[in-house]
Amino acid sequence: MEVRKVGIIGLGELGNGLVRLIALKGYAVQAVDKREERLIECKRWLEESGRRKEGEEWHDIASKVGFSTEIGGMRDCELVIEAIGEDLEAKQKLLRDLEEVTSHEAILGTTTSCHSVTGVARRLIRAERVVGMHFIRPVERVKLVELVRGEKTKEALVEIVDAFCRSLEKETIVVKDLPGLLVNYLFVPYMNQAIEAYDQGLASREDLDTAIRMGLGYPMGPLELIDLIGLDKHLELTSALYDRLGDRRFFPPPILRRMVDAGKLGRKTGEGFYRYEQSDRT
Amino acid sequence: MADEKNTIGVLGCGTMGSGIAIVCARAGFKTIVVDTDERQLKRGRELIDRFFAKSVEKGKLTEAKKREIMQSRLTFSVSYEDLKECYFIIEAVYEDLEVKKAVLAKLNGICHVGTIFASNTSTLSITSIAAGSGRPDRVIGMHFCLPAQVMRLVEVTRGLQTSDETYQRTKELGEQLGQVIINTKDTPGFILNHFVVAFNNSCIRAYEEGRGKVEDIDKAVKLGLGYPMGPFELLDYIGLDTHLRVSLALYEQTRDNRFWPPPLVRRMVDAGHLGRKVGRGFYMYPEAGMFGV
Repeated sequence: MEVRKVGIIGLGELGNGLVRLIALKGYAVQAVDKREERLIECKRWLEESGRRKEGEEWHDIASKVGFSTEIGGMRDCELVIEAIGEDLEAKQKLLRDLEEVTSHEAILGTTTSCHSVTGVARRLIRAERVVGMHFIRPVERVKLVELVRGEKTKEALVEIVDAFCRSLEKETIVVKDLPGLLVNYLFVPYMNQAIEAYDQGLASREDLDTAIRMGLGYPMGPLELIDLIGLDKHLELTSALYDRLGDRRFFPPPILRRMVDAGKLGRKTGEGFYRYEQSDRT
Repeated sequence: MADEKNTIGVLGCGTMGSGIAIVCARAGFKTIVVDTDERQLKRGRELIDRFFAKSVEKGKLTEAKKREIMQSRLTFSVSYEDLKECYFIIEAVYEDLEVKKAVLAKLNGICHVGTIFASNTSTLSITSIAAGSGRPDRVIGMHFCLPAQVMRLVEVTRGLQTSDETYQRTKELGEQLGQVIINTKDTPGFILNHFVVAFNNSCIRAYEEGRGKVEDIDKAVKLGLGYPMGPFELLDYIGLDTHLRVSLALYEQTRDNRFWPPPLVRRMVDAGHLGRKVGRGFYMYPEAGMFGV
C-alpha cells in the first residue's frame, strides 16, 4: 500500500506542525479539529507561510489541505494520525470512531507519549493497524520519530509507516511499547534531576545552564529548556510516567508542582525559572 | 615572565594534567609540570608538543612561538621541589582522596604560604581534600573538562573553609586563562558529573531492559535531544573502567541509585571491553591502539 492522503486530527502545536510538514512533501492532507477556530487558525498560518517562504513547494501549500470539524472526510486516507491531548479515553474513542469511517486497510497512527499504544488501540476490532508515531517538538525541526509496535500491531504496517516517515526526511527507531519509550524515558529523569539540583542550591540557574551547554554540549540548559517546554507540560508528562512506572526518578519534584500552582509555567506566562519580557513569550 | 605571579604549577601529567598545562602555557604563563612517574611525564610532554605542532600546522601559532612555549615557558620535572616558586598550583593526580590529601600535605611544606592549591577533582569533596593540607582556606576546586585544551568551561568549587580571597584569585586566574568560570556547591560530582553519570547509567539501564539497541539509543539521544554524542559513544570514549570508578565514587557519597553502575558495566570491565582505548566497548574499533592506552 502506498500512502497518498494523510489525515491529522487535533490541531494543537503538534498537529499544526504535522499538517505543514506533510503537505510540504506533496501529500494530500485532511485536517480535523472539533474547534472551528483552530481550523481557521491553521489555514491562515499555512497561507501566510505560503506567501512568506521561498520555493515553489510552499506556494500552494494551503490548497493541499482540506479542513473539517468532522472525521467523515478521512474515508480515503491511507494513514490517519491522531494528535489530540493526552486523554486515554478520548483517544480510545476517537480511534474507535475512525475505525468506522476509514477503509479496513488504513493505518491509524497515535502520537501518544504518555500512554501505551496497545492501550490506545484496546477498543478496536482491528487493533493490528494501530502504530505509535512519537514525533518530538518542534516537529518540523527534530529529525527523530519513535515508532511503536503495540502488542497486536502488524509488522508490515510498521514498515509502511517507517517508509512514510523517511519520505518526510525523518529518521526512525522502532521501540517497545513501554512508558516513556526511549527519548522521554531518558529525558524526563534528567530534567527532574536538574530541577531538584537547582532547588537544592547546587548552582545559580545561569551557571547550571551554562555548565550543561558548554561542558556537555547539549543545545540548551535544562532550566531554559523547561521554560520553553512549559512547566505544566513537564509536570503532566512526568506524573503520567511516574504513575505507570512507579520509578522514583519520575516523581515530580515538589518545586515543580509549586511553580505550576503559582502559574509560573515558563515563557508562555512570562515567568518560569527565568523571567521574560513580553516579546520573548512565544 | 620571571615574576612568580606568573608561574603556575601543574601536578600530574596524565591526559587532564597535560591539557591543563597547555591552557596555562598558551595563555602566557610560565608553567611547571611535575609528575613523579618519568614515563608519564615524557608521554605528557610529547602530547603537549604534538598539540602545539598541530596549532602551527593549522596556522594558529608560529613555529617561533611554539619553540618559545616549549623551551622557555614550559618546564617538566619529576621533583615536587621545583614547584616552590609557583603562586598557584593545579593538581591533577590520581582521583583518590588519600592520594590527593597526601600530595597537598607534601606541597604545603614546599610552597609559599600564599600559594593556592586548586584540585581538578571531578568526584571528590574539596573540603575533604583540603583537610590535612595545612591551609584549607587556600584550597579550591577547579574542574576542567576533558579535553581541557579544547573545552572552555571550568567548574569552580569552594570548600567549607575556602576563603573569599582564594576564590577571587582563582576566578581571576580562570579568566586570564581564557576559560568560562561557573560556581558550584561542594557536592558529589559538582554539576557535570552529577548529570552525565546519572544520564549514562539511565541509558545503560534502558539498553539492559531491551528498550533499544545501542545504535538506536545513541541515535535517539543525538537526533531526539540534540546532544553532540550518543551515550555509548561517550562511554567508549571515557572508558568503562573510568565510568565504573566515577559511578561508585558518587554512589558511595550519596547512596543515590541513579549513580549505581548497572551490572552490565562490571561485566564489560571484567571482560576487558573498556572502550576505544582497547578497541572494544559498546562498539568495536578495528583501528585499536590509535587512541593510546
